[in-house]
Formats: sequence, structure tokens, C-alpha cells
Amino acid sequence: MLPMVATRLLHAGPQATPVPHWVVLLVAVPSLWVLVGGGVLLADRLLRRVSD
Amino acid sequence: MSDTNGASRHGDTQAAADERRLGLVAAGTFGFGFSGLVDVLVLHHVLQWHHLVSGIYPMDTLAGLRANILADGLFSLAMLVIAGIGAGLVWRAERRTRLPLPARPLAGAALIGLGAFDVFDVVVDHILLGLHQPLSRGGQYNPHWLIVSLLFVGAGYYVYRTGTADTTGVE
Repeated sequence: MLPMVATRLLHAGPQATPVPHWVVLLVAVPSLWVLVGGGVLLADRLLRRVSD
Repeated sequence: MSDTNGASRHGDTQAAADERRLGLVAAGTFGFGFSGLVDVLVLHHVLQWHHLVSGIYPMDTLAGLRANILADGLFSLAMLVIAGIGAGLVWRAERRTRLPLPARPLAGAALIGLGAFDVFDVVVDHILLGLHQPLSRGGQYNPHWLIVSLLFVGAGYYVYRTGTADTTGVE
């Protein structure tokens, strides 16, 4: 039976990244927010230009 | 003076109509992305009926499964960004209006976006590109998938129309 919380990869293969996971999280999560926020501003400007 | 007031009122009405239109596009965008997320979470991960590229990479080998999981993950991120942008645009449109945007037309637009993703999925992903098939059984269930997707679009249009009739009293 599989444990509820996996403490190691359950499949074969190397770790996804050579850098610590907390660094990946620290970069990935804010980057995603910035991407969404930037996308909102860009799409808003674009839609306004199209509707004018 | 009354002319100035009239022009100002006309400008306000026009601005409100513009915001409502942008709000509808935004809600549709949110519905599109949200539908993609629901698709990948429920069908790809929980039920494991298929994966994004299971028509190309096998699901029953480790290397194939890893390729599929990677594709699912990238697809999920793309859908998350699209849904986030849609939600952000609705928020901005809402902030710019003096009156709150009517909820039913927005819900209808979101439902149309939801169905539009499913139509896109069946036409582009299943039929044109052959990336994967429902239940991984060839294209057997594509017609069913398309009909259900179009029902979502129709339901969204119905909610939108009844919503606009409620708010304007004219349509």
C-alpha cells in the first residue's frame, strides 16, 4: 500500500532539478503570479485597444 | 447645462457597456482555462482515462508515462495562467464600473468558455492532432464528447440571454 505522503520519488529516474526544492518553489510560485498579473495587464490593454 | 448632463450620461452608459463587454470576454476566458484545469485534473489524473499526449506516448511504460505527466503538467500551468488572466480581467472590469456587473450574463459567458474549451479539445486535440482520445478507445466517443460540449455552450448562451433579459428588461 502506498503511504499517504511520499517522502521520496515513487518512480525511477533522477530528481527533477539539481537545485533545492525550496528554491524552486520560491522562484516558481512568485513567477507564476507575475506571469498571471502581467498577462492581465497585457490582455486588458489589448482588449481596450480592440474595443476602442 | 442639460446637454452637458446628457452627454455625460451617454458617456457613462457607453463606458458601462464597454466594461460589461470586457467583463463577458474575461468571464469566457476564465471559463475556458477553468475547463482545461478540470479536464486535466479529473480525466487525466484522478480517473486516468487518458493523458494529454497518450495518443503519441504510451501510458503503460515508465518513460511514456513520464512524458505524459510532463505534458499534463505544462498543460495545467497554461490553463492556470489562462484562468488566472480571465479572473483578473473580471476583477478589473468590476472595479471600473459604478454598478456591479450583472452576475447571470457573466456566468453564462463563463459557461460558454467552458464549453468552448471542450469543443476545442475534441476538434483540435482529439480529431486534428490525435494527441489523445476519450477513454483511450480510438475516436469512438468523440461524437458524444462533441455533443456534450455543444450542450455546455448552449446552456451558457441560455443563461447569458436570460441574464441580459433580466438586467435590461428589453431583450
